[in-house]
Amino acid sequence: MPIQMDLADVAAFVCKQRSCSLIADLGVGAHKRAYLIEQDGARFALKIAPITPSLKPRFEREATALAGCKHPSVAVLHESVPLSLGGNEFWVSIEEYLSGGTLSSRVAAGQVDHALVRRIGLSLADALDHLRERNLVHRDIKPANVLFRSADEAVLTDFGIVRMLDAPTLTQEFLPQGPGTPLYASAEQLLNEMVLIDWRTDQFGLAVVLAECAIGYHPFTPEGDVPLAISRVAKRQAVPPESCEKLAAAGFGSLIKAMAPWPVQRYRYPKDFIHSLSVE
Amino acid sequence: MAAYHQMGHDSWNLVGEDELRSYRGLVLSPVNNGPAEMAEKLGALGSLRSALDVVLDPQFYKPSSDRGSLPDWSHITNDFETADLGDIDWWADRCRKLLQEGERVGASSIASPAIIPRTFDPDYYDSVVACADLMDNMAQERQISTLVTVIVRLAEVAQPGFAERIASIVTRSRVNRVYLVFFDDGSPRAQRTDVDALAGGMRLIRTLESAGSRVLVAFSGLDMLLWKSAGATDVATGKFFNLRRFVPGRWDDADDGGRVLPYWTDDDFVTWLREDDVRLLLKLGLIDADRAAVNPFSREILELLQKHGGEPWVRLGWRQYLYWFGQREGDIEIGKATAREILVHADQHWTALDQRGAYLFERTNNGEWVRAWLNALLLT
Repeated sequence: MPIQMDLADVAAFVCKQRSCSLIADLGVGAHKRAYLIEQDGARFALKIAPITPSLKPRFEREATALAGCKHPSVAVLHESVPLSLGGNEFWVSIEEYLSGGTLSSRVAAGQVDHALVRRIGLSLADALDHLRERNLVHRDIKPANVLFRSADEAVLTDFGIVRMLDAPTLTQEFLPQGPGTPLYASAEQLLNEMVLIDWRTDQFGLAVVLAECAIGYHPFTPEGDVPLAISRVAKRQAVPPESCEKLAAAGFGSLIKAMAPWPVQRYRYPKDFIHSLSVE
Repeated sequence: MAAYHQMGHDSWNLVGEDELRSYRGLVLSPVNNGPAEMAEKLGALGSLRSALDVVLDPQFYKPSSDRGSLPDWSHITNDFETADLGDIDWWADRCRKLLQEGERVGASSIASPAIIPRTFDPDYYDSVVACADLMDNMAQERQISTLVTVIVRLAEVAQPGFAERIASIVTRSRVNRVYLVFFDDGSPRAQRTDVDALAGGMRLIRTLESAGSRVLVAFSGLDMLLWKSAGATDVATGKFFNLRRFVPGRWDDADDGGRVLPYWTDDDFVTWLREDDVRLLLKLGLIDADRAAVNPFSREILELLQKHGGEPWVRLGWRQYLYWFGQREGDIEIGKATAREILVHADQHWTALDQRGAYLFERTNNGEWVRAWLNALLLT
């Protein structure tokens, strides 16, 4: 009979096992709880989640995907392993600690100017190129998954629903919607058109994040109506003209193409996206 | 950018003819020659060879076919019926052999192997892209480039979103040249009149080209006007006009060699005319002999017809058509003429024919496609 365990107890156990100090609880994500830990003066993020049969392959895939990545804008994964404790199964990962907070918190604090938006865009687009070369699609790019290593060094985190294009999909075909955060998802994600998912899906998500930072609202809803924004994307509508005008005026007209309804209408290669974003 | 010869039965003598110099490439078919013979024929082109882009179409469309010289090619195996066509390793072996054969004959490019599926769904195109990328990977070590073969049932591309969906999958490929085959059930010389399907086909071409793919539309005919108007970089056609028809029955037909009737390609009507209809239109003054004579083969045909000697002009008809194709491809490419201008002009000629109360002897040759094509241009 498994013993009911608090994730904090699991964190304490992991820290003891590795001679680390547990510094603070960093909060909870969709599946994992994060803790700040310290070892020999270096700080790390410890993430713990209970394992379920459906989540285990996702955790394994995340570990495999990140193990093959090495890019300044992709979070470093130091360790990712299952742990049996008290008859329970947990997934434990130790990642680099990104002390600069999330993009969402910076947006809320009004700390994101246009120059920073462009820097974030260029570095994360380069990260998408890195992922593309490895046949990986993040599928959940959103402000909460963009963290900062320093004042302006953006890093993409949380590869929990990463898609490996050269491995069988973990998403059931019958589902009406694929995994991802609807507000930042492309039409092919919202409609679970798995065969259309590729790096251009991430391009869409990144462009929505950047556009939102640049003009102050979700580009698909000048009205501020979140369900309407999702509905417009799912219906493969173009970015509303009002948003296009504001993006162009803010010097981010290049994002309009990146948010086109069909992947083929977006930038074909990351270098094209990067070039377009950098020359404005 | 260029017209290509879609090589058919006994077509080598047309390559490099002075009047057909506008053709910049060849699409070779293993049905017509074995590898040794093909290599020899390419070698015999001498200095002309280096000026041509030579694409090998592996003809995997109906894998069980044993037509012509297909059995002489190592990429064609006899395990099609028992093989798991969903197994990428099986395709890897086909690609490897195909590259060997391509290198052996001296092809510059190879269209990736693709079968005609039971259903043209997104998964099919996904597998097509996987196969093309596989072949492209293998080709990196050789001096051969790859085209991704995309077969599209024209009726399906009429569906909203179909062109964009397929183009989204195809442009995922690292291969940015597309060998596009439009597939339908039409009969030879019957022009396509489904406006939505034609507009969808054009939209597919435009979408692919806009995304940076270079499209070669295979088996084109008079409808090349539409494909070029949509922005296709390259278009291919053959001396047998019915080559433009990519229909299921084409694998079952006996090789009709030179049995075809002579047809006149008329630029004013945008149609193919049988001899008795050419004579009729000449009498009615609806073929302007002087204007037609811009095409040197038209001039020769007219001279033959004036002699009333009953001399055959099948070979001249082939050349007249190929010359028309090459010239019009170039006209649209450089903006000297638009498909719309050519078709509006043709519509005026069909109207003039109606006003004269005349009927062409070939009943199905009624020009109805001209307006369908004009509307397809409008809807794209």
